[in-house]
Order: sequence, then C-alpha cells, then structure tokens
Amino acid sequence: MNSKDYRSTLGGVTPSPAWRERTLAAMEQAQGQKRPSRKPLAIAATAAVLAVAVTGGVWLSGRTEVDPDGPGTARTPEPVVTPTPTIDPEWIYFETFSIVTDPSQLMGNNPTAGRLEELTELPVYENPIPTEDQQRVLLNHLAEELGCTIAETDWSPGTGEETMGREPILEAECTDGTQLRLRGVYSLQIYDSPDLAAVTETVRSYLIYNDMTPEEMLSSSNIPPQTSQETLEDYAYTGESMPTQATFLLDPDATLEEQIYSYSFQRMEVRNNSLTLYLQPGASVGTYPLRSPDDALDSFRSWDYWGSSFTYHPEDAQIIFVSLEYDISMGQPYFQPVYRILFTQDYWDMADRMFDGVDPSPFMGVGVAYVPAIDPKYQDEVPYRRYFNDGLAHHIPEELA
Amino acid sequence: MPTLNGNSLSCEEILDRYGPLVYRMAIQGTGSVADGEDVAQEVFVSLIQCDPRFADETHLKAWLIRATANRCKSWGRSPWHRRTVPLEEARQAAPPPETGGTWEAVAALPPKYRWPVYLHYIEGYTAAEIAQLLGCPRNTVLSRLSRARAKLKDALKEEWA
Repeated sequence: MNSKDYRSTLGGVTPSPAWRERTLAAMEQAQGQKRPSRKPLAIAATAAVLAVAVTGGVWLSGRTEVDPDGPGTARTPEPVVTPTPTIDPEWIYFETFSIVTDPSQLMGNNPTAGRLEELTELPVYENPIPTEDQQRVLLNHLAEELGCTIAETDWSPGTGEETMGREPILEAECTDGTQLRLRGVYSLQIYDSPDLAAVTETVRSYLIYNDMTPEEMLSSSNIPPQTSQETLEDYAYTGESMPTQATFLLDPDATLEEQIYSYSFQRMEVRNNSLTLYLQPGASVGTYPLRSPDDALDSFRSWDYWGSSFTYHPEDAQIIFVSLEYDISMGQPYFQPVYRILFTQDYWDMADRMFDGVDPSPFMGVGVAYVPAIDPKYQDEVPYRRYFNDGLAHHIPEELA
Repeated sequence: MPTLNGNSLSCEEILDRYGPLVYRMAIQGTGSVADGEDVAQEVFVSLIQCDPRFADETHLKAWLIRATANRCKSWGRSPWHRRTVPLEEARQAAPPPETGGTWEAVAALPPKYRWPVYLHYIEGYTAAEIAQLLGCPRNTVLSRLSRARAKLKDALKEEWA
C-alpha cells in the first residue's frame, strides 16, 4: 500500500513555472561556458591504499610482491606514464570493475603468463547447437558418471544466434535434490547438492580420467594427467569475499597451445556452492593467426574491447597483467582465444562503492577487458561475443558518439 | 549544446523532456523542495557546460540520473549548505509531498538503496534498466531493492508492498 502512496504523490510532482523560468535562464547563461577541467577524484586516496608500479612486467603492490618467475609474471608492458586526464565525475560512476584487495587475486595461474610472445596462431573450435535429444543423451551420461539419478527434467530452446541464450538448456533435478544445468554441450552446472565436497571430488576424477580408456587406467605405464589450481577472488560491496576455485588439467611437458586448451576446456570451477564442469568443444574450424599482445592493448586503449568491466578512459588505464585464454562464457558462436587484460584507474574511489559500514581502505578496483586474439582480418569468419546484463558487452567509440 | 543521436537539444527541449525526472529526483535526494530545486538547476547548468554527446535516450537519462545523485550527495555535505540552509528550516519553508511518512522513509535510506527504490517505484524502471542507468550488475540492483524493502518495513512498521 505504501508504495502506491509513494508513487501517487511524489510521482505527480512537477517543476513549478518559476523554477523552470529560473533554470532556463541559468542554462542559457551557461551556454558557451565550458566546464573547467577537473583532476581525478581519488588519486590521493588511492595512492594511500596502493603503492603501484608496473615495472618490467611485474605488478608490485604494497602488500604482495609477485615472484617474477612465478605465474604472476605478465608480458612486459610499456612503463605507464599517465597524463592527468580530464575526468567528468558524472561518468565515473558508470565505470564498472571488480573489487579486490590485491590485483594478483584476478591473475590466476594461466599458463601463458610471461609466454604470450610464443604464440602466433591457435585453433578455433565450434560451439555446436545441439538438439534436445543430443542434450538428453549427454546429460544422462554425465549424471551417470556423477552417480546422480535424474528425477525430472526441463528443456528450454535457445533464443537465437545473436543472443546470450544462443544454445538450449537442459535442466534436471536429481533424487537427492542436486540440480544439473547443461548449457549447449559445453558446460554442466551442478548446484544445491547435499554434499558439494563429494561431488567436487567425483567431478575432479571425471576430469582426470574421462579421456582414458579402462585399459589405460589399469595400465601401470599410463600416468594420469596432472592437475593445477587457481583461485580468482573478488569482493561484494559488503566486503564479502567471493572466491572461484578452479581446477584444470596441466601437462608441464605439453606445448603451450595444449596447455591453453586444457586450461580453458578441461576445467572445473567452484563458486558460491555451485560447481561448473566445462566440456571439451566441438571440432576445430581452422587455425588462425593471432594479433600481438601489443595490438590487443592498442585495441583496448582505442575503445574496442569487451566485458562487464567498463571505463570511459581506456587510454589512461594502468595495465596490470595480460594473459590469453579461450573464452568459455555463454553465447559464443565459436570458442576462440581472447586476450584478458587486467587494468585499473587511479581515480576509482572505493568509498563510493562499498556499502555503509564497510571500511573501503583495503579495497581497490580492477577491470577485466577482453580483446579477441584472432587477427582482426579473420574476425568476420569467427565472430566473437561476450554478454553482460542481458546485452552485448562490446565497448566501442559509438557509445560516445 | 548537448546532442542526442547527433541532433542538438535546445534548453527548452531538455527541460520539457527531462525536467520532471531531475526535479523529482533532486527533491527525493535532498529532502526538501527548496534544496531539490537548487540541485536540479545545477544539474541542468552542468549539462550545458559539459556539452556531452549522447548516443541514445538511455545514455542521456543515465547521465542526468548519475549527475543528480552525485549532486544530492555532495549537497548534503557541503559546508556552505550546512552553514546556511538547515534542512529542517528548508522543509518548513517548502514542505515535501505528503505521503504518510513513506517519502521521508525513502529519503532516509542510504543513497545506494534510495536510488533503486526511487527509480523503480517512481520512474518505473525495471531492475535491468536500473542496472544500466547506475552502471552496476542487475543482481546488485535486485539485492539493493530487497534490502531497501526490508529497511522500509522496519522504518514504517508495515510491509512495503
């Protein structure tokens, strides 16, 4: 009832004629008066939180010194000399990023760290749209592997090539309450399990042994694949940690191309009591030349990048880390390599973002921008997509046109 | 002058189209009609001075909403404002709309809850649209609306429905 009162009264308020007249006069007087430049809002505050240096490809923060030989080593970015930008405070609040206490929390354990220059071409894979029957066969197989008994299912068709719901979804409820959601034929989400730890162990075994024949599994000369882990951690506005713990196959003797494949497609992630198992993609549609990391950075800086993170000033961003992976987010027409660029802006002010009562001082913003790694000449052949808030998350100059 | 889809907007057009939105929002954000009028005027003057180019109407509205929210925030902590315009006096001089306490309860919410409530209940935006306007994930808007309703229930001693 009170929301109706609220709507009917405040919703009916309109400007008085006297206010309109005064405001119109003030606006007409302001014409031609350009707003004075303004320095970034929070440089001093952010500097107090961070001592940041991007030197020789290593990100150093006040808290963590990343081992230059370890996984935190990025390609060597150019030293950042950031001119003081003119920032309109009205725009800043539209910029979006992840909240962390240290940038290394989003670096992960990507095998391309420090090795990007080794890659010149990579395969692109199909992401086929399956029929309902194909999905049912696959889900039954996966449920059997997981030891789940399906009680009921619900199938939803895809919503079209150009949408984030491109592929159909088959959901199932198991007799123990576990919920399964098969998206296309590339990911299986498992949630509401009464024993997530046990399911995690089962899925891990599936990940390791799925490609081995029974004979290979029994043979003493066959060594099971090794796994590696990474934890990606960000924070809610409440200051609550939201870690994603990923396990993926890693053969240290394999080529970098094979390692990236396993990192992306032979992978499981646990986040918020939900587990996602990524399945291997369809056939390769070809091997394509890659653009260089510097070219990808140029693309980002000149307003051609993707992702839920967004900044109006990519040209001023401080680059933290660049890696390469296959994009396995929903709605991909093809699974293709992307550069993943971590960046920050010195004017991002955590005090504006965190909930009341949360000390903002430990936190900082880190954006994640994605740039397709396939040489732009070939991107019409293998179009790239990434979605956020039900829409395409492609940031291009037309946004400011 | 600001442009929308490449077309220049006149001051009259801007006020006719977006005056009520900014005016209401400023009153909600400052807690008084007098302060709200000042804030709303500042927002429109700032729009002229910034001279931005907007790709579409959503973009323009998002700018105005963000600008109004920012100015309401800084208005409340402005030393000049605190020294010269006591909130209660301003309210007495120009009382806010009578809504049986709901308006005051919404005004008392922290901004991060107040604006989703305002944009949803007064301006009729969906959670996805508010997410776009405020530049945050839709789930954040939904959780803030949910928490705001709980706070309003406590404040008003009845369900916010």
